[in-house]
Amino acid sequence: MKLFKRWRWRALDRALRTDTGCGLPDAALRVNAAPLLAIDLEMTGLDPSTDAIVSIGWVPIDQGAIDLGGASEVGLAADTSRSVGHSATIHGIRDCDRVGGLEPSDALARLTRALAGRIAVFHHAPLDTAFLDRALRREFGTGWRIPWIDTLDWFRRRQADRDDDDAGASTRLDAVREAFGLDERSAHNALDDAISCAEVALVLAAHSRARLLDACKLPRGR
Amino acid sequence: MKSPSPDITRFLHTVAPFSELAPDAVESVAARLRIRYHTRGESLGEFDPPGRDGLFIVRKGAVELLDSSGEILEQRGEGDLFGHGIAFTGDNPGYCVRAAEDCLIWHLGPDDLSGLLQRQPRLASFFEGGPGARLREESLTHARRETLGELELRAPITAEPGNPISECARRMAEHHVSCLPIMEGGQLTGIITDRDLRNRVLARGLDPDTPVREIMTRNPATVSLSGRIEAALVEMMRLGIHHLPVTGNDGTLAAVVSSGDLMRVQSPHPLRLVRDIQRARDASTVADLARRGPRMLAGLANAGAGASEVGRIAGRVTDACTRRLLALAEAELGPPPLEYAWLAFGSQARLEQGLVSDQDNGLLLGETPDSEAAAYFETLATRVCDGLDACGYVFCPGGVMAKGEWRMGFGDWRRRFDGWIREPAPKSVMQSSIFFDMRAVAGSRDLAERLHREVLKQASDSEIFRRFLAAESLGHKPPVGLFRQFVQEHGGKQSKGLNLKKRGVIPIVDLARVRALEGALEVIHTEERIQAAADTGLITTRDADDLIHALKFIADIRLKHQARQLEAGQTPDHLVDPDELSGLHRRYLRSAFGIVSEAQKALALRYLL
Repeated sequence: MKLFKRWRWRALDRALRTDTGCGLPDAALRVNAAPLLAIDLEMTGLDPSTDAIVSIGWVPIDQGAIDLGGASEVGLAADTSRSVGHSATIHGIRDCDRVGGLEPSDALARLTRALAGRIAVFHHAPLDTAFLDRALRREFGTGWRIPWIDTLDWFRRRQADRDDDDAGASTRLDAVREAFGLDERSAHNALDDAISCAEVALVLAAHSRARLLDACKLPRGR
Repeated sequence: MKSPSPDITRFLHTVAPFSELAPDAVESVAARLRIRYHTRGESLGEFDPPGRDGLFIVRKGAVELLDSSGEILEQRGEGDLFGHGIAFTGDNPGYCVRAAEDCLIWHLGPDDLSGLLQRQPRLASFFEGGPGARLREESLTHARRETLGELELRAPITAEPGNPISECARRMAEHHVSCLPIMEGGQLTGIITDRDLRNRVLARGLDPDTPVREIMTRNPATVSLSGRIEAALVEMMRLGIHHLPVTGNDGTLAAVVSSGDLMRVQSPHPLRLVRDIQRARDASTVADLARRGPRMLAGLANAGAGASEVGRIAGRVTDACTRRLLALAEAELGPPPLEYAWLAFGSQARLEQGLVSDQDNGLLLGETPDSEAAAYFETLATRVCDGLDACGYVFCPGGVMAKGEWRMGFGDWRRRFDGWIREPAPKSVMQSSIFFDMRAVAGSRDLAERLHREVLKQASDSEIFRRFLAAESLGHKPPVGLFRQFVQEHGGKQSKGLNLKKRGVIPIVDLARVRALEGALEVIHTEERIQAAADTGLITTRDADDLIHALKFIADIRLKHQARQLEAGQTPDHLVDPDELSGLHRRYLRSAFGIVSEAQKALALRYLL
């Protein structure tokens, strides 16, 4: 299994290097020393086939330090065929706010540049990676190819190792933050959630000696 | 750069000194932060010399600052800073930092910090100055206080020294003024008032054609237009005058302000209260009037008067009550059979009372009274002490009152002091300390001053007594840390509230007293004692300045706390919940406590304690 993962890592690294000129970090690096990018998406809904990305927030982590200087948030211009609908009540972004957003290809290109040489960090990654994979395929023809750390998954494994079910089944970032003694965040914007996620990643990494290869999930090949 | 995150900016805005910046300036700081997480026990680095690695903010959790030997200097929690020079011991020594709990730390790098300080020079003193500089900055920037300049005073009517008195009097009558500044070559050289015309001209039968320079008061005291209304009032009360020439920023005469002008600004005013008390028909009227005092003093505090001004005015009110009660008692009992002085002790003597105060007083008799005189003074003292109690100056819990045992002849007073000084014991020294803060409120000032001078001399000659006093004064120590939820005490203990009197004011008052006795300094106001100690070289000017600012700050915080309580209908006390204070004030308080600790250490060193 591990052998396969290592092989897969090298394959991704080669592909990225060929296409973008920038590969992956060394899989043997410890998470707390690795270059990471915490990412959060706001979407119009939960279904990647019908819903759209509204905004993307990200913040880099270098050598165990979140660098707010590299933090960014981009809004995506509305696809006229889809509406924000009910999700506006959650993230506060209405259709009319999206008029000034970037073209999806533009926004995704920026995210890709920020990701160069980094590992992605998501809280509850399956949803975000599915949306990103679909959007990247539509815009550029190639899907999501970067290994990622899922803070929710890592947190659950950690609690299971400790026989601690207290955290329950909640996927909410705030539930995890609370378990770590971090403040709840008021935010439902992509950037503040990305920062919150990055802080959770710092806590997890600080209490662990895990290497990237152990901590990361890899995108499936096609 | 725009702020990345509203959450980050919001928290940063609660952290001093960033709380003092405009919102967009806070955002640009937030955009430059790096966030790190440290587990308990982890080292966060060595800051020696401090200030090279930028600034760190505790976002969550707590850290310990340690000296080179590993001794814990201080603990800092959420919203606190480290990394910059921290004056633990007067200078800015290096220190190490360790996570006391798991913690999230925000870091502003050295380049970003120096860029920020260049754009915001006001912040520089916060980081670079010692705690004293910090407190001075506070008094400059946070005092929103009414100045004389806001009073719209009229341009003054003036005369020249060569003008005949009669012409001056006509001018005063014509313009309905009761005071006339005398100007020579554009400079103020003297002043005359209605009273001068009566006392110096009419009463003496002086020729009205005499030039006014013959009778004018030369080089009168002045106040500045930018000076504060309360300060002008205090100055008038101190000098016993009702007019003060006001100078503009260029030093030239801008106006004359009268006590009436000042009283119109704030009515009812303690100055008027003092006058009414002086005229009160009986003891119960004195009490009714005096009970309005605390509210008026709170009003002054809310209008921006500082603790040292309020203390002086509070003292005048107490003095007025005491004098009136004495006069009323004497009117009934007949003239006193002996020369006497009514002595105030402690905070009343020092003119440092808060909004409420108990009474500490004594009666000094010119000689040991016979039984008849003793009975007279016992009745007199009882009347006055009971009267003061009715005024709200409750009986002294320690029993230091003229109606108790503290009523005796000069020789007996002298022997009491002699006993304390010659055979000091911790208990007696502690009890005796307030007697060294002594002031004659009524009666023979000479008698009181003689006693004060003699005991000062004796105390100053007795190193052993002062050593006891110094040891006692170190009994009240300021806390080591101040957090939103609790006060960090010595030895790791935590407590909820902070007694600003015991932990802040008294340590400074005690320090100043020891120094005053050391140098046989006759002044008794704590700020004046500290200043005099510096003037005579007992402490450095810098330390004196720091201590005075620390006292002013702590006393101001206490005063505002008491004023708030009074307005809420509560009985004022000295116990402040740290959560009641802004983050900035907690930080300044910590600086003030640091100054007190340092001064205590210096005292301990001086007396080998």
